[in-house]
Amino acid sequence: MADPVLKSDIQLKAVDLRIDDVSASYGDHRVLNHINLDVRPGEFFALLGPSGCGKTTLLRTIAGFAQAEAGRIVVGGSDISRLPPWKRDVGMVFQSYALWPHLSVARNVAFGLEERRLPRADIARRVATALDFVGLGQLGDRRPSELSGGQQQRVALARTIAIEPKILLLDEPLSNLDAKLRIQVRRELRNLQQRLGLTTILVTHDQEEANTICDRVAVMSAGEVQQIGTPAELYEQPANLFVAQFLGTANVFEGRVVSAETGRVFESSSGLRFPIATEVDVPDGARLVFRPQDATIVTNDTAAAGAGVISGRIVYREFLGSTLRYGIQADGADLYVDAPFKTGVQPLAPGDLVGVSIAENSVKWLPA
Amino acid sequence: MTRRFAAIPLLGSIGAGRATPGQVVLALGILAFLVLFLIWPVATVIWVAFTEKGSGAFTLVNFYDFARTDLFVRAFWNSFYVSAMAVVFASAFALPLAYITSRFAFRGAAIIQILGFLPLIMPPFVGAVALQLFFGRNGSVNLLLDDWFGFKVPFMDGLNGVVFVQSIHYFPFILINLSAALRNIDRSMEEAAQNLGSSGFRLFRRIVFPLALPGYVAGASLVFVKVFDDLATPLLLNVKDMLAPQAYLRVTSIGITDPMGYVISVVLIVTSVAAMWASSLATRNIDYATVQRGGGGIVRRRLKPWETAAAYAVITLILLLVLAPHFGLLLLSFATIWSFSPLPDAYTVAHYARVFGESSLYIKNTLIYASLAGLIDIAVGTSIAYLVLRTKLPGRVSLDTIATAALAIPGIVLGIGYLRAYYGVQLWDGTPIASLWIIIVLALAIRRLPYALRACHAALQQISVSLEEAAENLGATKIRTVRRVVIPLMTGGLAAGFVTSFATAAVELSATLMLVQSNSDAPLAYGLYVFMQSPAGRGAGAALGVIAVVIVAASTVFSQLLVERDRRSKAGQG
Repeated sequence: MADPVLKSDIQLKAVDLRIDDVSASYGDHRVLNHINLDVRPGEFFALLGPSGCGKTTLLRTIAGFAQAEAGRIVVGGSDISRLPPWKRDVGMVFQSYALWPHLSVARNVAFGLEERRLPRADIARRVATALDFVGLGQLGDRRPSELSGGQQQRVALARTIAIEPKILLLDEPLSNLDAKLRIQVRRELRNLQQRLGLTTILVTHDQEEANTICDRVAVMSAGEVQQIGTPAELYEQPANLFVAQFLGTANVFEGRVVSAETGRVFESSSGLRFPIATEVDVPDGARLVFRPQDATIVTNDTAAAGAGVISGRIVYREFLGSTLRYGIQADGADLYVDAPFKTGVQPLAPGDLVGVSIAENSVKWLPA
Repeated sequence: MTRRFAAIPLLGSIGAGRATPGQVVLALGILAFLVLFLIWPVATVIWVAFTEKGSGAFTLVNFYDFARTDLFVRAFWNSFYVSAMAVVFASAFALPLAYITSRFAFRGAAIIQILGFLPLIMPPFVGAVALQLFFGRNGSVNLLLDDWFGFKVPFMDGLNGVVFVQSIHYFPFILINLSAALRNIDRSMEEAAQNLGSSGFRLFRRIVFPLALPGYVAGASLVFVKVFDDLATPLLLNVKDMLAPQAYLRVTSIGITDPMGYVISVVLIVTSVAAMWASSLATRNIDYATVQRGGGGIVRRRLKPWETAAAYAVITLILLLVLAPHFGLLLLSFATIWSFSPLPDAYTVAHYARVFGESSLYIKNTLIYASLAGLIDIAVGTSIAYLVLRTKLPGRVSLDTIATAALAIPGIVLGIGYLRAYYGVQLWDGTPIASLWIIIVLALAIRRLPYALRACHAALQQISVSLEEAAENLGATKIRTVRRVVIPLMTGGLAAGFVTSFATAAVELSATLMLVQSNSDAPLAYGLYVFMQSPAGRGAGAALGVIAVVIVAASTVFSQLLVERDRRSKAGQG
């Protein structure tokens, strides 16, 4: 179980974290509204949402820097919600890293251990182990300002795991890194977390970050958890409009189910008709959702358009690398359709008339 | 146990917590200090000015008397004239220097930096004596002018002398503020104008100057207020028909019950406040924080050879003027007799022997008073900064406001206020509290508090809250966090704040002149003033002045080193 680098010097245990009906306000403003979360032992869990959604406040509430006015935070079976920050044993890696500039790297890492009055020899051993673990064993004598951004972050991580925290909190860990480094550090972070085996909460506003490194994600908005699930679940089956639109791009249509000569169809308020598979039961007032990549441009000859094919005109085109995204106007409604970009194939251009077909089984329904 | 923990950081407030009993006690302590030694004395002064002598009934008759007395009206206009002219001349010194350093890549910039701080290490009244020797009616310059060309220039006659001395002393305030403003202009502001076709003087007039104007106005208003309030310089130059000297003479010669000293004090306060208010009003809508990422100031260009020569000529001229008091003081302190001649007749070290022999008490007192005042300032300043920046205590900002308001209180007013408020209060053995030396220390501390407070505030502000939270997250309590993280990170700023308070308190005279009750309690500045009263004492006074300059200069250099070392030790991080 123990990592070969950590050996028995730093002993970490995976425990579960339960957020139990936590609410908090900032003045009159509700920042957290009855939050409930169950994070499993060893899980890499993301709090994802736009700025102001309450994700950072929730993280700070777990660390004890913000206090809930109601609810409990239970770590490994014990309620920590009334403890001051310094008694919680939840390790936090700050967004700015918060390395103390007046202390060397090693002294930074030793700080928490000194506060715990550990014997000198133990401190030295744990500091060395923690720095080895993050690959900075040689840099203990440096000042934080002499390290690169990525190295500083690893020092902050080493400093946190040295105290053998019960859970690990990461506040926007990639936000201070440039785009290229971000992808590399993202993988490293996942890798380190797996080796540590620690229950880890990551706060981010970047869905790609959450999707690539986390086991499960809680999407938050307006102080509430909108949906919890694996990245694929959230993408495949969004619980509501917010989740559908926050994670990737979605075409969403309001409308109602009507009967046509071809069978049941969903008629949008703008008049577009989407065929519905016979076995599907559409809830009353539900909205129809499909992703741009689940639609196909079937023809650029509208005359040949058959049943279930929507005709429209391309109004713009975005080059996304491996795909092209077309904005298509059809009967006054806008929809997005992705098409693979293939070298040597001439893409369609704004103004072209096209037909779009949507596979019946890729259409999802959002409850009202 | 749970009760106690309920008091720790509450939601949202990013690191700040609900008020704890400790914070409340601290805030009340500071409030008591400010009330006792700032608000109460000043309120006493204002109260006396508005009440009838004897009966204590409200009256405006004292102000009527003030307006009816020619001497006072003349004194008011003289003070106003001197302050305005000092601003004009100080600007004339500061503007070219600021422009040269910020517009051109110029080797002499280092000299200008020294120019910007040399005058400040010598109290203006000390320089006054030396300038008299060089520029007075029978000073070196006029003797030579008379010899060669047959005329004299009245540099130092009457009000001219005060203007001359004050503008040489205070121009760095404008230079420093204006240079900072120019440096803070985002280079893209200028580049955008160039991109749109503006250049040369038009560019300067339309973009650079308006952006730097708030810095200039801030410096200029500071100079105006400082000159308006200054007591010692006019007194030493024997100019008595100005407001501050009149207040001093009233209280010392007629007594502390005479209302006119208080009326003048109120006029001084009102004028100071009005000048600061006017400057903030004038810059309110034009103060743009333009520094974005990088900043960098306006674009520097190389000087052509003739421009370099012109720049050096300007700098040399100003440098000579600035150095004149220092040089004159040094000569005087070693001179046997120096009168009616361009240079002293002969040299001696007897003055220093006399000063160290008889007057070492002055030096000792100064070191004690200034150190204590500096320590009080740092303690109070740090506490206020902590309450303001790190707690949610109601009313915490008003502590900051009250402490900063001391800026608008002239030293002489504070001195008069202490005398009036505490003379009647006696210790168990009948000694009036106002005659204790500790009162001098408190006056100095209050006078320097606004500056120290800003230093402490800045030192604490640049410590990111997350640095403290990280310590708590790793197991350090609030007090341990302050000890292990906050204090070490503030050290440089605090030391600099202490030294600033110490150095300026060491040469403060306005308040101390009122408060020194016995020669044995007198600080150096007071001793200097006493020496300078008599021609025989001038040599010794000059020696004392040189010592004062050395103390101030050494502490200034020391604080620079501290700040520099501190900055380097945590380079790259805030």
